[in-house]
Amino acid sequence: MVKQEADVTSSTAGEFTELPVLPHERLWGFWQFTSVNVGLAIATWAFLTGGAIAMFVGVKTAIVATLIGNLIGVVLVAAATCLPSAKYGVEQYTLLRTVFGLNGVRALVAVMMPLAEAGWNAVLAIMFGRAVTNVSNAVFNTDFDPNGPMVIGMSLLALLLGWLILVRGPVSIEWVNKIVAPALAVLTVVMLIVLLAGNSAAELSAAKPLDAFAQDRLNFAAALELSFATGFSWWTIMGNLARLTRTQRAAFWPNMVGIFFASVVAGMVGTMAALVLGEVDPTVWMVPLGGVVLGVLALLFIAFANLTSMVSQTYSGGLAIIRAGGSAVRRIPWPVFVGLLYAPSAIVVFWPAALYDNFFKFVAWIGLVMAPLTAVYLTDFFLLRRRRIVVRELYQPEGTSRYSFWFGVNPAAFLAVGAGALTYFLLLNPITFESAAIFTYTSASLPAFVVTAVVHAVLTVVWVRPAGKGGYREPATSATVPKQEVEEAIG
Amino acid sequence: METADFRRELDRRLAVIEDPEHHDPAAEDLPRADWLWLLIGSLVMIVASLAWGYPW
Repeated sequence: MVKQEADVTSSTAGEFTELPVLPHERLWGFWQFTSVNVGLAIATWAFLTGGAIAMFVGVKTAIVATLIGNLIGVVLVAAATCLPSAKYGVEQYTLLRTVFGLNGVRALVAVMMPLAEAGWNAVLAIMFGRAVTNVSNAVFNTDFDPNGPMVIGMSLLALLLGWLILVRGPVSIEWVNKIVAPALAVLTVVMLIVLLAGNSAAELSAAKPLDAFAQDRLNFAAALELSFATGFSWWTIMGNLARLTRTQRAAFWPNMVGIFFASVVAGMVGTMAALVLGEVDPTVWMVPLGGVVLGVLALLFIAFANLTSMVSQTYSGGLAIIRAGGSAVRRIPWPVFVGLLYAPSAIVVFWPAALYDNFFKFVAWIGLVMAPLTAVYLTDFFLLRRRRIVVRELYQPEGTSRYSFWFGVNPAAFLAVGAGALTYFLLLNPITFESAAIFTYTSASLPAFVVTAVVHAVLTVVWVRPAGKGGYREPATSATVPKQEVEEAIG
Repeated sequence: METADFRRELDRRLAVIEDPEHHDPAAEDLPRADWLWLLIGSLVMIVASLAWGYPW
């Protein structure tokens, strides 16, 4: 059997399963959720994103692009995912049935999660491999190549260690919040102090981007686009966390402190380090910044932090796949299941440069998928359903539930997401990173977002709702809707 | 997951949620003032940053 679910008969089972949570099970007020968000935001991938932005712009423009991109991305994701899950106490992928249909969500999770896991785990494993290799080079004066067999071997070791830890249970998730995140916050502050102490404001401002296009505005648009994608990338997990908050205010505003502000600070430190040292890879920064002793300690810590990040995100993604996959997936033994989750990354790490040194393209792919997903969910919940969901119907079988579509799939939502992704692709090709002329003024994520929202709204109004599918037709007046809203609905 | 235990627990929870006396503070939507502050704050931050650092 795959990982045991918590005992559903216990009074707090809702915290751990797809059951709706009750008020006394909601764990987090404003500050608790803020602390969770800061812990998520201060991760090693923030340095990677900051380094990627340094390819295109200098410090001043990077601050503007990072602020605006993350602000818009995080606000839209927080509104789309956190508010519905907090309001109804229901996890995100159960609520998404109202958008994609029961089988549509399963298909979405089955395709999206393994790809995301493969990409992120490979990036983190290669970062682990390069960190360990750089330690060896600094301490033992070795000369291992950043894309050579040593890095590949260490990356595979990282995946093996991740598998060994996760087979024993998700213990490292606790490490992330209690040890790794605070220590990474300290590392970020120390890096900032070292950078500011060693470089004047004029020197930092004068630092040239590492691999920029000829046009300044295009460089700004590229940096902005990477920041949008960073903000949108939180779509996969935020709803599941927000359902444990006590109010919608506590679900929404902590995102601005944690996910937005902390991401911006960590990303900017990464950008400054990359600009000053002339290197995108965070594992190369530590020894020049801190000297051999501190640098090696920082690198070893980064390797450890990557390991815990790998385990945490593989665990949460794995649970989503188990819930979507049903009994067929649950029959797979847990160690085999975890091994299958890590397996694609074990292939990718044989070409370290292909993904790790093209991290900016990987981030663009995330924007291509996540901006439309955010748009379709936001449009469906706020515009088409007027923030009203009947909780009981989320758990009814296909055909019986008001949230039934065609064979459990809402084609309108998928067409809308496809239209948004195509719009993105036409504006910014994530394979080549070539862009259309208009991209300089529009970015790719925002037009993709708008196209998705419009297509979903139009298709729903002219096709899905007239067909009597999806429960869009009649207003919800069930007792599961808050009393105040029922009164509003019936006048 | 549709085990008997799960279904029983789900029904218990739905009964609690659907009880007319049930009140969950999380069901109250974000106040309009919050949306307004969010809009104003975001616009100020975006305009100010662009004015300061956009490569005009």
